[in-house]
Amino acid sequence: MDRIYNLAIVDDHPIVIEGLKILLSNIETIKIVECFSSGKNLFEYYDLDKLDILLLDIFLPDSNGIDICLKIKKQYPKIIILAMSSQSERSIIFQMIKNGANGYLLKSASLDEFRNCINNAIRGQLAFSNEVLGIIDQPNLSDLKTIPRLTLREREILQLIKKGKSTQEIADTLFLSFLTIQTHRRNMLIKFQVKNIIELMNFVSENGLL
Amino acid sequence: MKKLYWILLFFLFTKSIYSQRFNSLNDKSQFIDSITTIIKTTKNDSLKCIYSYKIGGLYLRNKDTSNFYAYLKLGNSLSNKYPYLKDLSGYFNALDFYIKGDVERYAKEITITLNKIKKYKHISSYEMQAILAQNLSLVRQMQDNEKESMRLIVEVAIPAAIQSKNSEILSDQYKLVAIALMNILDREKANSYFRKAIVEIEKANTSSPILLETKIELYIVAAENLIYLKNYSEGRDLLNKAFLILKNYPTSNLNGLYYYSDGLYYQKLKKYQLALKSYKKGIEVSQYNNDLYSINRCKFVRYQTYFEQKKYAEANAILLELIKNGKLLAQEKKDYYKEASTTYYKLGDYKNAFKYIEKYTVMNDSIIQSQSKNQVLLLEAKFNKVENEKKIEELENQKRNAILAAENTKLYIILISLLSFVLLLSVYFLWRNAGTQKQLTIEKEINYNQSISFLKNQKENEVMQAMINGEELERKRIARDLHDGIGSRLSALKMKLSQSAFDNFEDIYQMLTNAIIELRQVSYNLLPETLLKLGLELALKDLCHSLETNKVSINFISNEIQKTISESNQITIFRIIQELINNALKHSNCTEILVDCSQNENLFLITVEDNGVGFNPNSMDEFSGLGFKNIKNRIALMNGKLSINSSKNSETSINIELILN
Repeated sequence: MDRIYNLAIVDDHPIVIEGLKILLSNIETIKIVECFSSGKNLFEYYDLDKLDILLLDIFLPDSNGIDICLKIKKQYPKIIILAMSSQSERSIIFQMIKNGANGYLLKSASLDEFRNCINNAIRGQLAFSNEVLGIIDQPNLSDLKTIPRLTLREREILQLIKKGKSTQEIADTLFLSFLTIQTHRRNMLIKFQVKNIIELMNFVSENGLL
Repeated sequence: MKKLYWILLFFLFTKSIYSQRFNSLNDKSQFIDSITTIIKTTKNDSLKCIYSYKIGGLYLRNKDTSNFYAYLKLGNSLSNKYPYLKDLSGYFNALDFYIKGDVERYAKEITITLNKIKKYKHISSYEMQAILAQNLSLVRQMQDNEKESMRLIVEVAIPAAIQSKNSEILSDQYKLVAIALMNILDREKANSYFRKAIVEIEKANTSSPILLETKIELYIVAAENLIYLKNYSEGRDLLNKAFLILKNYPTSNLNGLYYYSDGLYYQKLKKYQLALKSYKKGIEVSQYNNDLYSINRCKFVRYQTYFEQKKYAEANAILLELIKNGKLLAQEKKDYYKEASTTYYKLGDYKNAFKYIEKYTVMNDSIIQSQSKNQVLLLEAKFNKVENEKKIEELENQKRNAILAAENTKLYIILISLLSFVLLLSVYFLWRNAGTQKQLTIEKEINYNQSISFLKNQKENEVMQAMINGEELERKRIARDLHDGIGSRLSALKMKLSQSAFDNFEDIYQMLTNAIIELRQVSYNLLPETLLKLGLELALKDLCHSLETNKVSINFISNEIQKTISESNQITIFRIIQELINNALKHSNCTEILVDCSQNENLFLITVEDNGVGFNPNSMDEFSGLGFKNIKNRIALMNGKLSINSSKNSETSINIELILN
């Protein structure tokens, strides 16, 4: 921990940058070398490979942190990226982690949280602020691999397929357009990850979905 | 004798036209000279012209065609100025056709001229009309059309001659009628006409060059007729009248005619010596004039006289002389052969009698043969004529047919053009009708479009109203949230800060944190930033996740949702789903909600189902709230369809189809 890490901030709000500068000056292991107000400014910076840590805001006027994260990680995998947002959307958090971010902080986090997160990230751990941790901990049903649910209409369509009706006949019976029925059929193939209607019917009957 | 008359008639008729013979007192040159002098001296062109024609005609009678043509030319050069002379010139020019033997053309020209000059009502015109009719009559006579010939004289020539008051010409016409009657041996009637003719000729005082000849000839012929009528005294008177003039012209060929009639007179009175004397004189004067016909006539009557006296030898001698020198026609020769045979018989010379009877027979046969030949020729000619007539008729028929065909064609053309005109008219009217129909359709369409846009406007207004209402409602909510939530928290914080300056830092920190969280929620409710930055799918996923509670689980399924959906469509879809989920959470009392979204090209399907208490979709009271109305408006904006499958105490399924743009 004797090394001083070079840190840069990307945020479109000057006040936030100023606040963070004051806040982070209390952390001894880091040195703020540069601040950028947009993704464009960041990529125009000549000394990107000298950076060790990047505090990246999610919502930027010209781009978004998720895309920037992926781009930086592809070119400079060694740079530690900590996402930073005033929003705490679950999907954004997961998307950032997916794109190689090393942590996720809310801007409302305290100095201790910032210090912990940065240190954890330097140590190679995923770093989240407390509130973010709370969000992550909530399990989401859709995140789990379960048998997909069928809607009422999809069940109706399946019944008619089972009776041997064609797409057009189904459309006529349900007073829907051909394209709608075709879309539902396609949706079901995607949902159950099957290749054709026969596999679908087999899957449905094996799992007692009808 | 009939034959004789015919010949005489012929010569008389040809009097005023080109002729082989005309009677002459042999003093014409003086007359011609006088006329020539007039032509040369007169200043009057019309006079000059008519005299030129007349003198031309006289030259023609004397067979002097070169002088005829010269005067004809002179006449023609002058005639142009005078309509009458111009019309009349046709006749004189037609003489040319006569010279060339085209008699039919000559007759035609005469007819034309006759018709032309009929309109001129003066003496000269009437004279010429009479002369022309007379000449035409002669032509018809030559063509054996006796009836037409007579008609021309009686109906045309005589009335014209009477009008002309020219006695000489009128006399001529009477004479012609008389000769015609004499020809058919109606001597009594002929005599009455001769009388009329004589009365007229004696009235005549014109200076006609042939007046005297005409007079003498008339006397002689009338006398002959009287003699045959056995009216010897009157005949003698006439003969004496003739001789009174004729004695001054002892060499005139008229002497031949005179002595013939004179002899005939004596012969009939059986004064044979006187008769023979007259005949001899006639023969002598005729021989002087080389007048073969008169010689033969006189010789024949001489023979007859001897025969009557039973002086057969003398009679026979004259006959033989006649046969030898007579230049006879076959018919005459035949008759003479027969007569000769008779005289030989009377003389007892049977051998010669037989010889002449044989000659007669041969002659007769040949005549009959030639006659039959002639008849055949005539028949052939007639046949040809008939054929020609047939041909003409055929041609005329063809012509008529052609005309008929042409008329038919014309009719067809007229019909067709009429038809096409009608067609054109109807097409025009149809076109116009179509035009108005089109206009009507266009107007209807415009009206329709207007009503559509009106309805659209109405709908938009409704939607706008709903939006405004929604906005107002939303503002109220935000105001309440800010006032009740963040506002009250910040107020509390302020109070805390003013109360006990910084003694309870931890409390203040906590209150500030809560205020920030609440602010974030308010902001999210206004418009989730995720939707704009990360797309519909993630935004919906977050929405479903954030609305999940311990009691209610929300299952979100998405299929093939693209990021290319327009921002406004994304917001609309997001709001619809947000509202539907809120409804389910608020009213259905459910434990599970299923949200299923899928996209196929520009079709977007939304299904929201819950296992709650359900409702009766027919009683829309429950759905008439602002929230549901907004959903409906949003669906309408995206040309979407909504179907609700629900009933009391059963699960609810709401299916929405949207069309992306």
